[in-house]
Amino acid sequence: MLLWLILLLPLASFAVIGLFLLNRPRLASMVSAGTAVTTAILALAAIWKGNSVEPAAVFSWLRVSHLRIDFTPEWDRLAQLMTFVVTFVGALIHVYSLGYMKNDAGKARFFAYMSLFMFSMQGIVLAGNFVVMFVFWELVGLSSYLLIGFWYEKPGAAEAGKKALLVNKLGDFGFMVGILMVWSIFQTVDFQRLGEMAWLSVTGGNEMSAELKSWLMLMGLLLFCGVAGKSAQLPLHVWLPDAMEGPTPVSALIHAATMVAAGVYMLCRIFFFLAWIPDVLTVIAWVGGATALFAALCAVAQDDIKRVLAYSTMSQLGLMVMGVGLGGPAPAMFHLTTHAFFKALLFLAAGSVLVALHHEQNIWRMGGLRAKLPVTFLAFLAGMLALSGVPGLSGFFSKDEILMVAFARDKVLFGVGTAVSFLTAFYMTRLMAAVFAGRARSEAADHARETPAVMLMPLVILALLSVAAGYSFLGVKDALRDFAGFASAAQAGHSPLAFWILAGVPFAGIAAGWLMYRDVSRNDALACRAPLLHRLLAGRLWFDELYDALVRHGQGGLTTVLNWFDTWVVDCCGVKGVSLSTMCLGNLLRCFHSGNLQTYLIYLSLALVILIFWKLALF
Amino acid sequence: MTAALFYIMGLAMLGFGVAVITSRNPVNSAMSLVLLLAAMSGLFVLLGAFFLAAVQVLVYAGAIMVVFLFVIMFLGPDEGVRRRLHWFGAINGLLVVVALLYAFFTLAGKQPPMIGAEGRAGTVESLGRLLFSKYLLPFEVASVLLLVAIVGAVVLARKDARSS
Amino acid sequence: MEIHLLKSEMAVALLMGWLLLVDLFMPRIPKRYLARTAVVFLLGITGWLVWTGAGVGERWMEGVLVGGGGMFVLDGLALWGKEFAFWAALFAMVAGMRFAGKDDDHLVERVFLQLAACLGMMLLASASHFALVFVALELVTVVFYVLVASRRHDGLSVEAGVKYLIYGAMSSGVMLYGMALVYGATGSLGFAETARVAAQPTPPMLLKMGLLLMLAGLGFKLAAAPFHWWAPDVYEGAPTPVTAFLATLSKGAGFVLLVRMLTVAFGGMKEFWLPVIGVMAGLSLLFGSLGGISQTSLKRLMGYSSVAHTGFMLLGVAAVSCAGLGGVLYYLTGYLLANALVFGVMCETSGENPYQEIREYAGLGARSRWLAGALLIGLLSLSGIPPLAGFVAKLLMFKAAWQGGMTVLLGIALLAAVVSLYYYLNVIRHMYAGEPVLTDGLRVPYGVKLLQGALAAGVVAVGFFPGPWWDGSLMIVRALAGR
Repeated sequence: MLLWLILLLPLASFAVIGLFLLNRPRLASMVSAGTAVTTAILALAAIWKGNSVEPAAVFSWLRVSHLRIDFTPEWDRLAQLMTFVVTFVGALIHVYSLGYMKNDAGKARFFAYMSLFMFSMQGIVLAGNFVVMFVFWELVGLSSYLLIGFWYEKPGAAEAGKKALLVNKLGDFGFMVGILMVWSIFQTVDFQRLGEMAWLSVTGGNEMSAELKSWLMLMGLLLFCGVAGKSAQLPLHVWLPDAMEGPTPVSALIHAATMVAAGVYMLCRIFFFLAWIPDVLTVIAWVGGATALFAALCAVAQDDIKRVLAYSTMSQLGLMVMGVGLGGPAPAMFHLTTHAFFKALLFLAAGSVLVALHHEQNIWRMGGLRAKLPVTFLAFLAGMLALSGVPGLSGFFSKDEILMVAFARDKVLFGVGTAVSFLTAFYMTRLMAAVFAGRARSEAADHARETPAVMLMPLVILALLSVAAGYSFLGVKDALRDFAGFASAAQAGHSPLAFWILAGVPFAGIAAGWLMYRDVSRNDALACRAPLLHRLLAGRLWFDELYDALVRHGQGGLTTVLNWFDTWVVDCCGVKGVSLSTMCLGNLLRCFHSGNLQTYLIYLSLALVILIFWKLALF
Repeated sequence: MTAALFYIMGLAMLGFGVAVITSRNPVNSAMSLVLLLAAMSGLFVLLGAFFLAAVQVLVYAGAIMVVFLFVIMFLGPDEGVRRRLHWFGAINGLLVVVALLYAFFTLAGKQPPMIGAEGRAGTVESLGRLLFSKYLLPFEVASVLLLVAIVGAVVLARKDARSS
Repeated sequence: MEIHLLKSEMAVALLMGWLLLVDLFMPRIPKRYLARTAVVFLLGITGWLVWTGAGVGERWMEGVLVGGGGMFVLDGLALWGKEFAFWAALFAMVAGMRFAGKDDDHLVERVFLQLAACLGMMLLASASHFALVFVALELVTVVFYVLVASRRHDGLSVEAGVKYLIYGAMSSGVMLYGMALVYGATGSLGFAETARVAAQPTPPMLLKMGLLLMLAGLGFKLAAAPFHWWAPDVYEGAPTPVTAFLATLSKGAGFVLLVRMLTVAFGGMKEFWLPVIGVMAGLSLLFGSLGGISQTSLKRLMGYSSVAHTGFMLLGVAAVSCAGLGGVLYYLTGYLLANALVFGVMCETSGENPYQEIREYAGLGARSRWLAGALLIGLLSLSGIPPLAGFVAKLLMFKAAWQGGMTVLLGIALLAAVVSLYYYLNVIRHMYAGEPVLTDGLRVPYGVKLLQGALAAGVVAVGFFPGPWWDGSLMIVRALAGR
């Protein structure tokens, strides 16, 4: 019951707002935020009860021969942790949005979409099998699309929403095929039953045939496609930076804390299963590492405050994926949790800055905000330090765990991780310096005023969590220490060497950043010193251009041919022909219905006569 | 004797039936119908269903046809418009007749119809027993049906309070 | 006579009598209140029936409850048919009352007639004796003769009434003749005795002829081609609430009877009636889908649509499997809900007006978002768009046909589904993209909104969670076939 409430309350809120409250924005926002807070409290209660929550009623959705799909909320420790992240961060961001969206014309619509998102996301978390997860996966994609394009009158936003949807669809297609393969290989899509099977096969130690192995490999990679789309991994990452066109709370909730992490969550959910195909895990680890490094490099040369954070998100997601790939799902989930706190914090603080500066997003037109926005500054600082992995803050602990696994498993990836860590500290320092240090470099920055308390309160809570979430007394750190699904995970040893490296790198990054951006001018220091490198990075290694060209030339050529075929062969001969003949036939049949009763009776008796002769005389 | 009577009655029914649909004066049609029903009650007599025969004469030939005639006289017994026989309808009617004849001469002859135990006695007593025991439910439903028909007639025929 | 089996029928009959008497002796009571009270009572009876299963609960599953010397059975199908009758009647009564004028003299009589039709279908659902079948069927039909023509000042309505009367009388005659032949062949009118004779290796020709004639008569009730000629004219001419009633109750009654008759009485003659049903299904699909293409009146279109849906359901009957017959019941459930939605919106937009040009629906999306949404869901379900009820229903039919090996029919059905999609979508296109003819806003009362919301939720729920409904239908049919 409790679980169903957690899942369905946001849906109810969405329905109520969508059906009745679209013209009552104040009430709508209150309903949505109230629901989010209630859900968070209920979720905390359910987590408090833990596994002893009474099992929710199973409700069988579909039964086709032996394919059985139930709506059974999964309530193991993994789901509990993720539920906590989603509902808690979600509630804070809803409260924050009350302030951020205060005077927006589409406020009611915004909150309706947010509720829809909360419902879908919670659905992913509680999904007990692939099909249900896929349904919610798509729903999440939909609500993300709606929210990115929320200001659809801006061409950039509409465009970005479309891009996100299309790129996600590409990944989801792979995911769907992967699910079909799971079904065809194992005859079930239920996580628990799959888990039992995987255990059997691993512990039973029966040898797989090479053919089965390659099928499994393909299946694993296809499933990972979905992750790559949703969690913005290479090469499907292009949508995430553009998604920053959406309102900032959306960026914080969906494109930093929860939805993009859904991919990582899914990887952890099926980890028992992936652990069985080590080759796939290796691929996953390398894709994650490459994404992390690439995104960190890109972040160095961005001018837009939200884009910097977006690339940073991508980079951290890459680290998590790498962690799972290296066989460390527990550290990855830990990092996911802490990251949700400090990245949401950073985005919300950035949003606070944007509100103060009337939506000026270019960091070179800010500056000197430390004195003007003291609370925001402190919050941002906490987030930045946590993200950089400065020892003692949450980010350090979680990143440390991932990289410890990397150190034990693959030294090259450990190097990549260290580099990412350095770059993270570097670009975050750059951001801090440009935004808060020095003096104001624009009119707006000069007149900035601190934002209202309803927006600052979530900042403070998140800042505290960002600092403290790494310590074991909060329970996050060890939540998944001996989770059954992770039994086959790699055990990371503790190496003092690695520890010292990891503790030192953030300081090095911060120092380098501070040296380079100490005195900020209107331009990027990197652009002056290494213009070529800057152009390379600012252009994000020209991924978008490459895709554009691919689409234009490859697809464009194909389109021309297909267009010709479509116009002349399909339309002319096929569609027009078929529709015309159908119309003719329809008109012919219509002629029977003359409206004359006698005629009808004649038809009736004629039909009867034919029936009698056919059935009785011809036998 | 029975066979001869049967054919006489049957031919009379056919003839009156044709007269019903061909005569142009509605009074003539109605009168033909009365005679047709009378002939039919003769058939019932031949089958030993004396009660049904009596009811047939009383209710159909008597009561219902009188109402018919009332209505016809009320509206004025005009000569009807002469309708042309449509060739399509004629051929069709012929086909129906052929089909039914065919069905009877080839199919029914092969196996004599079975008569259930309850069908043998056509007396009032046996009928009454059946109606109030085995067929009680359809009997009652038929009464509902009649009530519905009366209400329906009221709905269709009574003038609205508004328009009067 | 096992009176206790007839509780629900007697309750309805008492309600009818009470209504007439109160109207007669207390003319001061406003007729609208009387009609509303009748609706409340019927709702109560419905609730009682649904909760307790007509007082027999789950006992029907243990064995058939037979009354009246084998005339009246109370099994799953009977209960299902009674519930269907109740819901159809309730909806039609509400729709009919909504547009009754303040000084409508015949409101109570109309409600009485609707209750009578409901009673007819209830009896029909339980009937397993041709004598009872005939009176019950006539009870339903006679009501419709009157209701179709009940807009006496409207030529189209009267014309439709006359057409329905004469066509129906002829069909009844044909059916009665068929019953007489069945009696001739078996010496009895009971389903059980008929089944005994039909199960012989070579059933008598008289029985076959009788069955053919009865199928023709039933084809009229079902609006199955080639006996469907009346449908478009009568659907168009009848007052809209009556059309809704005709499309749901009349068809439901026909199918419940068809299912019981073919499985119980004529189960042994499958080889004989299967091709007939198959041909009727194919023709209905073709006539219903192709004929509707160039219609300009929505009500007339619904007439063709009803013929096409009969075709889909006959597909399930022709599959002669539990899956097919259970699918028919599921189909009827979705069909009832979707039709109630569509006709409900039609009543709201133009009252009882028989002329309902599709053009007039242009811009409905702007006039009333609510009505447009309801109509959208209804039409989408009728056209079979997932995840609505109509989709699962069609899917079940196709699956049954496929398993029954009827490839040709399946092809026709797929074609019909695509073609009918065209005309449903055409209405939707007009609704949202058309150049509006009427622009005045429509005010929809909260009660209607609530009803339509519930119906729409029902359409979605039945389609999205087919499990319970499908299991229920399957259980009913299995019990029927297992006897």
